[in-house]
Amino acid sequence: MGNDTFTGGKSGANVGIGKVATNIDGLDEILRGGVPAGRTTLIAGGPGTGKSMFGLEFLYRGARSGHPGIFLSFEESKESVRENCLSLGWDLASLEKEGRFFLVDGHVDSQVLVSGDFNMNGLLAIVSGKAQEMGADRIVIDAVDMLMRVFDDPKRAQNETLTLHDWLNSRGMTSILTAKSAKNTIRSPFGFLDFMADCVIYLDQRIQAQVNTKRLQVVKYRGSGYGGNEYPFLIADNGIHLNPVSGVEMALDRDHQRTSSGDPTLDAILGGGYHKGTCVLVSGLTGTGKTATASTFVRSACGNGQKVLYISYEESAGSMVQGMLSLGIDLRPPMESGCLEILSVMPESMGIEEHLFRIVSTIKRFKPDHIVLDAMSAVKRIAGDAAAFDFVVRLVDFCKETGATMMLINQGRGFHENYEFTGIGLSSIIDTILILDYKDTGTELKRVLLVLKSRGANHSNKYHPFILTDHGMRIEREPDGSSREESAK
Amino acid sequence: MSTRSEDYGARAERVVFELFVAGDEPHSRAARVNLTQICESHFEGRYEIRVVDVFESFDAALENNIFLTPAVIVRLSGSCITIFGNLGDKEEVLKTLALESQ
Repeated sequence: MGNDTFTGGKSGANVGIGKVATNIDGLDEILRGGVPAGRTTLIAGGPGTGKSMFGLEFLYRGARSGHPGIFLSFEESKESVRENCLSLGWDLASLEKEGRFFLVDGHVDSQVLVSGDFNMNGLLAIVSGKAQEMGADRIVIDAVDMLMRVFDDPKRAQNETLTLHDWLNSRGMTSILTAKSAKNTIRSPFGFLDFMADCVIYLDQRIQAQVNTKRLQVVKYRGSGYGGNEYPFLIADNGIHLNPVSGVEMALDRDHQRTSSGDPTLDAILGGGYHKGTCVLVSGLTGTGKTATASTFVRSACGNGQKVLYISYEESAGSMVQGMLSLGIDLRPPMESGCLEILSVMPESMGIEEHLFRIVSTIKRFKPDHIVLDAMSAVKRIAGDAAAFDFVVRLVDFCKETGATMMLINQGRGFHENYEFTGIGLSSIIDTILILDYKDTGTELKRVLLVLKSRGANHSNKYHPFILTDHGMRIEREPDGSSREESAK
Repeated sequence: MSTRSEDYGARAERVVFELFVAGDEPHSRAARVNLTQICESHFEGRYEIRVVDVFESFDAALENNIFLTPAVIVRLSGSCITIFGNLGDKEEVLKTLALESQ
C-alpha cells in the first residue's frame, strides 16, 4: 500500500490496525491517522449533513495521490455528483479520464419489475471487475440504505448488506458506506450497520442563534483510539474543514521566553513581559484603553521584527489605524513592512465555522508570532455565548499549537463582566489576565490596570494607574514614590 | 391460463431475452430454467435467449445498470423491459409482457 497507510496511532493502543489517511482537513487527527485500511467505515447523518462529500473527498484526495477509487451513487446522478465536486474545485471528469476515479450511477428505478428472488451479485461483479481494471482499493457506497431498499424484507436487506460488507473486506477494499439517519440515531432498520462497520461516524447539523453548524462525531473505532468530541466542520473553498481542539499541549517553551508589552513598567509588573506563546486576556470597560494596550504591544513586537495578526471585529482596519494614530501610535510602518496584518471582519457577516476557517487559513499563510483578537465580546454577536466560547477555545488551542502568543480583548459592561468569560471555564486556557478599569479619585477619573493572574510569574496585585500617551499606554510611577520592585525598572 | 402465445406481440416478431446471471449460483440456475419454460410455452419458435455472466463481462452489466442478479432484459415491440429476480413468479412476467406488447 502507499505511504499514507500506517500502523498504530498516537494512543499507542492500536497496534495492528492499518490506517488510510483521508487527507480531509482535520479528520485524520480525530481518527488518529485515518480510516481503517481494508475495512468498512460508516458515515451516518441526516439529509444535507455532507455524508456524500466526505466520501467524495476521500476518493478525490486518494485518486490524486495515486489511489484510484470507485464511487457508487445510489442517490444522485453522475452529472450532479460532478457538478457538486466542481463547485469545490475538484475536477472529477479529468480523474475519470485518467482512470483514477470511477462513478457508477446505481440509481434503480423505483418502478422496477421484480419476479422471484435475486441478490447483489451484479453489483459485486461490476465493482470487482472495475476495481481490478483500475487497480482501485477504495470504494464509497452512497447511500447503503438506498441499496437496501430494493429488498422488501428488512431481514433480507440486512443479510445482503452483511454479505456485501464481508465481500468488500475479503477484497481488502477500504470502504466508506453512507447511510441516512433521523436525528442522532440510525435505529432500525439500519441499526445493525453500527455493529457491522469497524468505524462509525455521525454527522449532524443544528441551528443555534440562527446559525447552522454541522458537526461530526466518531462513535466507534474498532481497535483504535479516536477523538471523542463533537467537532464542528465546514464545507468551503476546496473541501471539508474540521478544526479539532486537539488538546495537544505544546511542549511550551517555558524557559522564560518573554516578549515585551511595549511598556517597560508593565513588563516589570508582569515579571518580565508576556510569556511568549501563551494566552493573555485584556478585559475592561469601554474606553479604558484595551485597544491601546494591545496596540502598544503590537508596535513594540513589530519593531523587533516579529509578525502580528490583528483580528478586528470592532472596526475596519482603516478606522482602527486612525484611532490609534490619534493616540500617537502609528501602525502604518509595520503594516507597510509586512509585520502587521489586520484582518477586519464584520462578526455578523458569516457563521462561526467560516470565521474560524478564515482565521486559521490566515494564520497558516502569515505565520504570525502574536495574534490579537479584538474583541472576544464581539464574537458573541456571531452566534451567541456558547458558540463564542467554543470559538475562543478552539482558536486559542490552535494558536498554542502554532506557538503564537494570543491576546484576547474583552469588553465588559461592568466590573463583574470583566470576569465573565473566565467564569465559564476559559480561565484554564488563559495564562495572564489584565483588568483595565476606571478609578474615581474624587478629582478625576483615572485609568487603572490590575494583573489578575499571571501564570508562572510573580506579579503585583495592585491597581496601577496608567495613562495613554503619545507613545502608547504607560503605567505611571507610584505617586507616593515607593520603590516597589515591579515599578523600579 | 387465459393467455396464449398470440397475446405477446406480433406473431412473427422475434423476442430477444438477455439474461444476466452470476455464474452458477442457485438464483441464476433457477432463472435459466424458468425463462426457458416461459419461452417454450409462450414464444415457441420465435425467441432467443442470450446469457450474460456478469462475472465474465461486468461491462455489459454496467452498461445496462444490472446491479441485481439474475435479471432479464426483454426486447419486444421496440420496447425494452428489465425484470429482476429468478422469474419464479411466471404470472407476473407474462402479465408484464402482455401489457408491454399492447
